Amino acid sequence: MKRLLGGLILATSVIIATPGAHAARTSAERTAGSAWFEDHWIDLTVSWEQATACDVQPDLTICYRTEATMIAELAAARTATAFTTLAACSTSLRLYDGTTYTGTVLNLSTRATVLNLSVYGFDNLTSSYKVGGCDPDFYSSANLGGSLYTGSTGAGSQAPSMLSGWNNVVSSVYIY
Amino acid sequence: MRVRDPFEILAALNPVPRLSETSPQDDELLATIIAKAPSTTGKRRRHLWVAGGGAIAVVGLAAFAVFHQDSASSPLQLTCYTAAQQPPPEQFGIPMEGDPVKACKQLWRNGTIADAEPPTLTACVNDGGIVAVVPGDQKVCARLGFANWIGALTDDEVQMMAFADELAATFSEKCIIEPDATAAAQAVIDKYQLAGWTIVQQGGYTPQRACALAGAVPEQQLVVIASRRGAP
Repeated sequence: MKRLLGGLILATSVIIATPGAHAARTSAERTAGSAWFEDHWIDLTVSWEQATACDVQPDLTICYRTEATMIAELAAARTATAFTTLAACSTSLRLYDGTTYTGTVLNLSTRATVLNLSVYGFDNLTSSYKVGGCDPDFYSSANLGGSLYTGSTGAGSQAPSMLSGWNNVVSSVYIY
Repeated sequence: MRVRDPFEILAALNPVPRLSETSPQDDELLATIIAKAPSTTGKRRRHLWVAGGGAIAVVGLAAFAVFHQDSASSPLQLTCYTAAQQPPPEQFGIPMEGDPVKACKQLWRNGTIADAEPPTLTACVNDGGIVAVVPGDQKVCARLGFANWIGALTDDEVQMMAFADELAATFSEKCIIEPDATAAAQAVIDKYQLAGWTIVQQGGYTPQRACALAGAVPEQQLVVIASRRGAP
């Protein structure tokens, strides 16, 4: 059973021993064969450098110096995933300190939890916003208390300024 | 009129006559005392101890200030700073993960923050009590007035995350109306055997917002219940 599991892990990864010349690339030069190796990008179509094992994911390929390192890292990642609690929205809600989307920005994506803006140092600062892929509710007090913001906050909406009386008032947020 | 020496007056008042008598040994003893320089060895040693102790205390305090570690009071969220400054020009609040640095590195790599090599990142605990992952080495937390994050989630924090998850799921899977909401939240609190927690009902129910939502606020040991969007 352990061998089968190991085989499954390896099946999702490409493992090849490849001595060769360095082929470090900048992020701007990333291509379809780009992979992250330790602290830089490499182009697998040119060279694997000292990497001998790669974990190929749809959005990112990460290579490792040894197969053992890769297996350990993947195991750690699975443990970390098990810790992950509330889901994240694919695109963030963006709150701006200034009107017309200026000033410091707080991006929020944690769904189904009470988001008190004071923990981000952003209490009573929101002057404009852009909603991501998930609907949010804005409240004037902490812990979803006070008044509920009645402006448009549906997914994809945005506002260069807040409704009258709501500038620098939002204290907590809930993202569906 | 003869002016008398004050010492003579005092001697005259002395009820013990022998005290005013002198002997040759007295002069010898006085000469010995005057000739002997006061010893400073003990004092110097004492100074060394004080200086050494002070130095150790200063170094200890400096190390505490630079590498003071803390856990987050709210283990449900973390934030990724885009710069080592307070406040940062931009930050990303995301769900807490077992490895916050790794979670933020992903944002630096996938184009959310950047599409480049992530700089060195360090997990701190910001003054709001959540983990803030900041560009910089281990000293960056102290520079911003934060503590370094303790480095791992405790069992209690993992338990808290599971509790928050279950609480949210309980209220999102079905429509729980206001009269039933407190009991539903209390059932989850009881299941996780959380003592000292309170439930607050924020209201706001309308025909368009007839169902309840619930969220945990660990740093206040609070479960918040409010109306949520949508009809049953």
